[in-house]
Amino acid sequence: MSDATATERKPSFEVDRWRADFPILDREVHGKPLIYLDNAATAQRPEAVIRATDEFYRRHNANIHRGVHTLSEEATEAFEQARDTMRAFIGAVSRREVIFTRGATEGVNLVAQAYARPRLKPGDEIVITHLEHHSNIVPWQLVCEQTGARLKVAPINRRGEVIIEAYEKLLGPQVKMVGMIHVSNALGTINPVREMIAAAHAQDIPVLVDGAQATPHMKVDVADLDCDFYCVAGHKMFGPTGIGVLYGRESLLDAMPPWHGGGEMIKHVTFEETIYNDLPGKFEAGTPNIAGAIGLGAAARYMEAVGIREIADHEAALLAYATERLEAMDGVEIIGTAAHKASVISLQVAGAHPHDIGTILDHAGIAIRTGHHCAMPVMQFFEIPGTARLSMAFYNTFEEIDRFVAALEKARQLLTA
Amino acid sequence: MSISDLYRSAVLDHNREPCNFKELEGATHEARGLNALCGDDLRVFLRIDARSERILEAAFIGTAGAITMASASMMTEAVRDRTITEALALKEALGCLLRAPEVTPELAEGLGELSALEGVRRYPSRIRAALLAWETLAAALEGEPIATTEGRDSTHG
Repeated sequence: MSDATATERKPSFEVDRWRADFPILDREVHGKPLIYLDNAATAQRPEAVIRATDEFYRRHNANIHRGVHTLSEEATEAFEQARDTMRAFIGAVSRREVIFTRGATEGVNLVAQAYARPRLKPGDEIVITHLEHHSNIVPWQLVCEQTGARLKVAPINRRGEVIIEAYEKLLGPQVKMVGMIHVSNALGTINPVREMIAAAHAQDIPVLVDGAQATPHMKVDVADLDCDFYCVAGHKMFGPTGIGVLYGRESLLDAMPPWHGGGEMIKHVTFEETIYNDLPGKFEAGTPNIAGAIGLGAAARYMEAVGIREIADHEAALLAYATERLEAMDGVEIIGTAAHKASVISLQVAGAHPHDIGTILDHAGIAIRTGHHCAMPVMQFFEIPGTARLSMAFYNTFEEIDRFVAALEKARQLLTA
Repeated sequence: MSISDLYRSAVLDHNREPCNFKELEGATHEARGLNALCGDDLRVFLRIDARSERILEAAFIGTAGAITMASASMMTEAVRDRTITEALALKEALGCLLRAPEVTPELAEGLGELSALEGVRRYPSRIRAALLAWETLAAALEGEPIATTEGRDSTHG
């Protein structure tokens, strides 16, 4: 490793300025300043998001698309503005393609049930990758049970990258759907989704991308990716929990039956017949998470104010620095060494269980995730029960990495020496 | 509280070099213990003399965190040469100690080395870990193949 410690590095990114927007980063845990390195589980919220949801409840709360009164009109306008913000944020062509969901998981389930299920026959195949989060495995297993279709898995190599040739070999006329994670939550691998989508489209296979871990770190443009469905999780990108976005290509969404029935998704109901609403309302049955959507819109605007390019650059520097420091440690092995990674590092410490590392780091004020990260097949591939994972956001600093490395070394010595 | 209160030296020693960490040949009872929250996965083996209902030998294998490992290791030592009734009473006594708001000398009495696990009292998820091997022992005695601790994987991502 180099001799340069974090404090000697000249900051090119005004990290302290942005940190000040996150009230929780001021608190202490076990008497130590919090170092939050569990951003892949959920990120923290800036004042702008907290204020947006707070103000909705204080000033504008009413149900949307319902009443003629002022509050209802204000609430509807704020909710639909959030949809416009998210449309631009992910590069969708039309606001009709932006469906508010409870999160990325709900988006996958919606597509599995309303798009894939009516089209699948016994013997058809769905292709996913070995890197998937459980949320992009189980919904497809359910639809396979319901239809007799089969799930095929594109393998990964020891670096934790999808083997593209093997993935392409799986594609064929029997494949009716492809699902892939954009950025692996467990290892940080960034999949070459643009190329993988093109390979599927060459055989007319639609593709769903699970982007839960991508939007917090990089510019996502669904038109450029040319994906058919893209799932966004609000809470991973500094927005509220319980809100997300499903992007769907308009022609596909139009051809799909509704998933949930109820209010809002209809135009006209009699006991004999119901006429469904137009997009996007067709897929938004019931009163949605209005404040959540408004908060998510605020999060997207906040990220754009920070600068998505700047976020990506700062995180790339953090990742390189943390990787270099961890590689220099005795007994530490990084799991997942893909050439293209987001700022996520999974690691193992020889002779120490991840949960013990997590508990000891917590006592040093450091929050990390330990375990299988809802990606048990990834752990099975590496033949390990779990990892300790640090996942960095743009508000993390080089000094925090130094403190993390020092605390990890202390934990290692306590548990193994 | 300090971290060394949870990871006492007896706990760390048992974790580093667990006792009876092996598959037991001639086991009469066996069960698997799973803790979904921690990803702990144990198998506990017992060799019991049917007539006297005495545990002649206990052993375990598996992967788990230090608290689970240490508790399992201590258990295999503590229950040897005890009757089934005595072993289950020991399990109850350990559970009472770990769930007690305050530790009193009476609670720790008779637990010997196991009282070193007392530091987990403030970590609800670790109480389950400390009891996993014991729940697995109880399952083995009842002929149940698998013991699980309550609790679920409550975080995502």
